Amino acid sequence: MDLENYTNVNIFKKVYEKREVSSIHNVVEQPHHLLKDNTQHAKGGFNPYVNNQGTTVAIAGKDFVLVAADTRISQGFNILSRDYSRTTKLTDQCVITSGGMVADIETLHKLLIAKVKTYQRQFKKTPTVESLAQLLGNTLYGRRFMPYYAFNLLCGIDQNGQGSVYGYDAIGSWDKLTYGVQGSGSELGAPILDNQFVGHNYLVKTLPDDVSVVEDTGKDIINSIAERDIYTGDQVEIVIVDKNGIRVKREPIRRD
Amino acid sequence: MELDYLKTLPLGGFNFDNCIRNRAMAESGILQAPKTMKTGTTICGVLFKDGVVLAADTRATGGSIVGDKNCEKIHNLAPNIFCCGAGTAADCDHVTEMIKRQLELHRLNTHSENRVQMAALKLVAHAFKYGGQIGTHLIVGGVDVKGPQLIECSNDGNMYSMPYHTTGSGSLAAMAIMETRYKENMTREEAVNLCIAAIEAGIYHDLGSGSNVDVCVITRNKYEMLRNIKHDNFKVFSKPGGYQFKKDRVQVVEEFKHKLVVEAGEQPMDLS
Amino acid sequence: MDNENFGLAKSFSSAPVLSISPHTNFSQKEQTDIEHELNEQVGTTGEYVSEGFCFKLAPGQDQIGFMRSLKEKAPKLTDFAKGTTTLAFEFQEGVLVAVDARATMGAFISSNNVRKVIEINDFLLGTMAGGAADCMFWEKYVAMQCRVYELRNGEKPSVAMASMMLASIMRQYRGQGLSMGTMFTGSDKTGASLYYIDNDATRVKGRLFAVGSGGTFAYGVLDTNYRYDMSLDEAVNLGIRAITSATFKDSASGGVVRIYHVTNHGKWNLIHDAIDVSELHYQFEQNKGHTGRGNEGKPNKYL
Repeated sequence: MDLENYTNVNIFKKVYEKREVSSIHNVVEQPHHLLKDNTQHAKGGFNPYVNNQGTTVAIAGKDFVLVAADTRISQGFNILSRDYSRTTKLTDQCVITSGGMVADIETLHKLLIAKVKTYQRQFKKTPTVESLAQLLGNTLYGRRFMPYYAFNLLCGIDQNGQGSVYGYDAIGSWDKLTYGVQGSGSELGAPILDNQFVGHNYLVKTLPDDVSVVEDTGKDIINSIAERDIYTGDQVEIVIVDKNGIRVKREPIRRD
Repeated sequence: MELDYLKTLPLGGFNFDNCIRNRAMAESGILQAPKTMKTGTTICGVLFKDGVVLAADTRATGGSIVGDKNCEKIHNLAPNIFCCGAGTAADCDHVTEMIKRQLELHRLNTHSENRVQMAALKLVAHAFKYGGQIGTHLIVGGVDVKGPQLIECSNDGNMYSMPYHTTGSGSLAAMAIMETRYKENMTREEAVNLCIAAIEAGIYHDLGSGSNVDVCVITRNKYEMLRNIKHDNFKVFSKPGGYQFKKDRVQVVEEFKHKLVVEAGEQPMDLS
Repeated sequence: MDNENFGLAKSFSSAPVLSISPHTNFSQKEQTDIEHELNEQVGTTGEYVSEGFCFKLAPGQDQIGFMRSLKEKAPKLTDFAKGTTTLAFEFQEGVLVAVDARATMGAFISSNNVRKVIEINDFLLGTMAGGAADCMFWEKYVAMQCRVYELRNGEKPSVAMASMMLASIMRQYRGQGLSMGTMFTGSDKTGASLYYIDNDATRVKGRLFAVGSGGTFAYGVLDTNYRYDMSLDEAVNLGIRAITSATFKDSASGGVVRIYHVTNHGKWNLIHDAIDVSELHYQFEQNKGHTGRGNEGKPNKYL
């Protein structure tokens, strides 16, 4: 085995050298495949996007925040996975949960984990949820012209110990919410949440304080969405963030 | 003449007046032409020793939303002929209903049992006449003088007969089961179990199919409709105690009370 | 953090050269001169460009075609915060800004409590119409540039200049698919002023603007009742009235009304945060002697 090839620098060097040689000999060089104008590669042009669907709900409480999400990913009418976790831990007090395209969700979550680590090394402290909210907004906007196909909810405990949920669109517009729902079943879940929890129009926002009631409601909402949305099902993943850390549990729901 | 206006009325059949408008709407991209409800479906049929088994799932979808969780996709055409429908829900319902009447008339005229071949041929002729625009993908099964018959009729006017058929969005999953487990001269029980397994494959692996399994077994002089023979898919969790809907969240602006007066005698309906 | 100069003006000296000041003392100039100066130095040479960003682009040549086709390729991806009524007008005590708070995705109301006034810093405000992310990001970027300018030059930038920064960025990204229609307002040494800037890099100084899908309805109320010599109370009521009327007729606007006042003395105040428009509607109609249900003079028919 030629270990030299295992470093990127050498590979690029070789490519570069090869090009040099070929240009000396006046060979008409084939452009690198990435540089090729690949807008023509399929009917309808370059399309990097596919929607893998799935639903996620987040509800903020007085001293906790709860995420309920399904675990199904699908493409067209096919199920790709029945136990995919769409929620990622960023810090001990903060998780991100997303719906949309799985490739972009994974990339984004990994990037955020890396950014959190960089932050911890640089500033010798863990980023707060507020900082992460702005960071995620800027990260998403950095791809303004080729957006991440991910619809995110950032959930965590803020500095006052209150639960908070931040909702995003694909290109990084964000707002602080008391609850949020994203993904294929968002139209079905939003009215239940509006009715059961402190809504957008309510000026006095008293957050729910009983975690078991909120958990039951979150679970029921995902169950109800699975009844009517074909892209939601298989399992419900409950993530509860509170001052003691993060708890995760899963329960099966209808699989058809 | 007073009845002249009758000449301006359409004579029957389909009305194509809005075709050009719908195409223009689709092309402009501003307005969406109305969409039909498709039954993303798994249906199948199997021949066995002395009859036919037809089976279907019970989910009807409109886009990504489940429209009906327990619909009936096995239609009756004649006492000895049944058919499973996939494709556009309205087309399947109306075409089978139309053919059912034609078969009944034929039965009364000839005083004899309908043949499956004829039912399929009528379905196919109708589908072919409209060049594939009628979205019916059907599996017709029955028992007639020639014995058990199973025929698939596609929307473009094609018709073919094999010992086992699957159609709909879950047809690949169902066909995988059929191909591995089908054998000739099965007993009734084996055939029913095979059909259930095939439909369940569609239910669990295809998003367009779901809910329960319906099975229809047709043998000589007898049919048996086994509706919801499998019903494993239901809501597993509901919030204990249910929900409270607070009344004060909706503002009551005005209240009206109307007195309803019912007079004796027949009243013409007010259609204004 | 180790750098002892962190956050101080001298630590910026090695930063990439973005905003070289025009070396002009604004207080001694006529306002028309400031405009002239800006056009000479900023507008034509295009020094205020966004730097330090590396936006990931789609591979291939046809960027703009790619952006346009996103709607079919990725449904829901580019839908957010469309449908708005925002208005702002100058009057004798400064500028009044009034906005609604609804964000829609097609027929779906994604939020009824959006903050459409972006508090850029303590003397500048921007409103949000079009793409929420575009408005939020670039107006925050302008906030950063204004701070850098302040640290370099020891004085706050004028509103004319800050608005030109935003307009220059819009010119740089023209045709790339940004979506923004903002009223940029603030207060400097010359008093409060108001600009309209959009994604085509239009930058207009004016006295009265209403932007968004409900803008036409708001103009109707505004143009009827607007006077320059209004008091603050009158102006606030006019703003509330115009937004309420627009939210009544435009289904894409709604939620709550927020009112900001930019004074002539270098700062802004939040006057009303979140007044529910449906309450306001009934209140206004009942003041006129109506029920507010839009069925005056007709008998109710329920059967």
